[in-house]
Amino acid sequence: MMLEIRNLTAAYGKVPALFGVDLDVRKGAVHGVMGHNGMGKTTLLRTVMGIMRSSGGSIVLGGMNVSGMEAHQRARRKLGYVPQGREIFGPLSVRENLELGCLAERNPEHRINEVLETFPRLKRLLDRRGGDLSGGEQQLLALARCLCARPELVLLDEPTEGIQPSIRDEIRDVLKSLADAGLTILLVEQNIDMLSSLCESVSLLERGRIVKTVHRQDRSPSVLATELIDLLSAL
Amino acid sequence: MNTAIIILFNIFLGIGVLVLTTMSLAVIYGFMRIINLAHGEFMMLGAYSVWFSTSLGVNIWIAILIIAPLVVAIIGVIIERTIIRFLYGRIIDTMLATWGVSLLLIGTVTALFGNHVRGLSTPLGSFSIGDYGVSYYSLALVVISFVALFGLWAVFRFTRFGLIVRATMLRPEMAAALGINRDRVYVMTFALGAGLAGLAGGVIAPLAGVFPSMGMVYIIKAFIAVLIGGPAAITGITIASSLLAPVSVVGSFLASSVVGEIALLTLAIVLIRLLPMGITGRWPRLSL
Repeated sequence: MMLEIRNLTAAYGKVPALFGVDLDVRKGAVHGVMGHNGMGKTTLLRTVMGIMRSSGGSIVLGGMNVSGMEAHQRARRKLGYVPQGREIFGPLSVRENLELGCLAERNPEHRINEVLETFPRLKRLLDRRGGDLSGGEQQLLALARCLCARPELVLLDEPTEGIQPSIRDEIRDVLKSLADAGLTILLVEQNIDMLSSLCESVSLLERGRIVKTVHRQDRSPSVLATELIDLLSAL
Repeated sequence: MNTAIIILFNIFLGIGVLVLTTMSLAVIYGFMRIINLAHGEFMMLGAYSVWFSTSLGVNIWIAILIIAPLVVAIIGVIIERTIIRFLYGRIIDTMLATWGVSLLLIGTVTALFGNHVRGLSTPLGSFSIGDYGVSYYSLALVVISFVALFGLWAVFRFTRFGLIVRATMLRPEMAAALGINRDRVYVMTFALGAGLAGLAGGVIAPLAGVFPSMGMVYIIKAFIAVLIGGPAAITGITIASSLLAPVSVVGSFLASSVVGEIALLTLAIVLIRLLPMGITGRWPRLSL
């Protein structure tokens, strides 16, 4: 397993947000997490990343318990994070944003060029300020920045939220190619088509708990999508 | 003609002193958003480092350019690790804490060295412009301040450290998620700011004398320059110093130093009234 989460709890002050989450993500798989707003999806990713402290339970990343580690230590253990809202460094150029993903690289320029092969749209934007890009371009930049660090597991928080359809398709295609290349992804998403076309399994998060996990097995994306819609509607 | 040259020189000297005494705040307030009320006392420690080490026989240039910044940077590390790091994001608390540090430092230095003005001989000698005598050291001060300012800008603009600092100050959580150790960045940035204050104190010491409360002379103008400068800290202090110092120098020359100070503060009030976000607040694309 690439990621094993056991009985994970987290709280905002005294208000609990996660109530004993159990989740496994197989190496090389795309695992989706869906749920209504405010059910703890973003909190789950922030807690796994270490940006938010867990109050109990364990997070095992590639066989190592990282529960007590700081976010930067987890990042150095090949955990990547693309947050909701992208969190681009607005005043910095696109190139500088990408360089920040390459801090562990001996030759950052080479790594940036490698990653840009997957994101050709960003090539002509390298000297623009990150904050001047459109929402879709920022999302591509956030993904590219994350990939510059060669992560083995990427935590992806609603990558298509508020994105124009043409770039949404581009993001889906990029994620598909990354998944095909064996990258492990934990994807929080509300877009059912995205989940059903990309994910090997999808967990439903409800009030800070995983209440159901659906595995693709031999279902087609449309059958899986219907099943996920039914699950959400039943709540 | 000679008078014009002297006024021009004093304007450059005024800009140099203001830039030098403001760079530390540009880093600690401009980047870290910490209102460091001990800024003046960091300068004072730099000045005392120069006085103390030269009294032990150390070359004055080594004392000014190396020992003063280094000693104050180390003190900055200690203060950041023991006090400031618990107060990030709490502006009022950091103000109170650094005010306490300021009082502590003044009290400690007074207890150790007494409340006297310690003089340092100005190195390099002097030259004449007409009837006016000008010390070469003043010229050196201007050069040092502009070199330090350019160096600071270059560090933030072109180095990996600068990039990491800017990213961490913009979005600390995202920076951590990219593998950046926030604690280390904070302490190094604070140490850099403290070191710059130490350098300023060290450079000014031979001209201004060394005494425990010397920092208070500079802190108000330094804060005014940073606030007027606005969010792009380094560009901001450069422009603000270039506006404030000439007004102060010309006012002093035409009337008295009190009039010069009044002119400076009046201009500051007008600028803050007209540009509440600071001069560089009008150009949000400027990041440094």
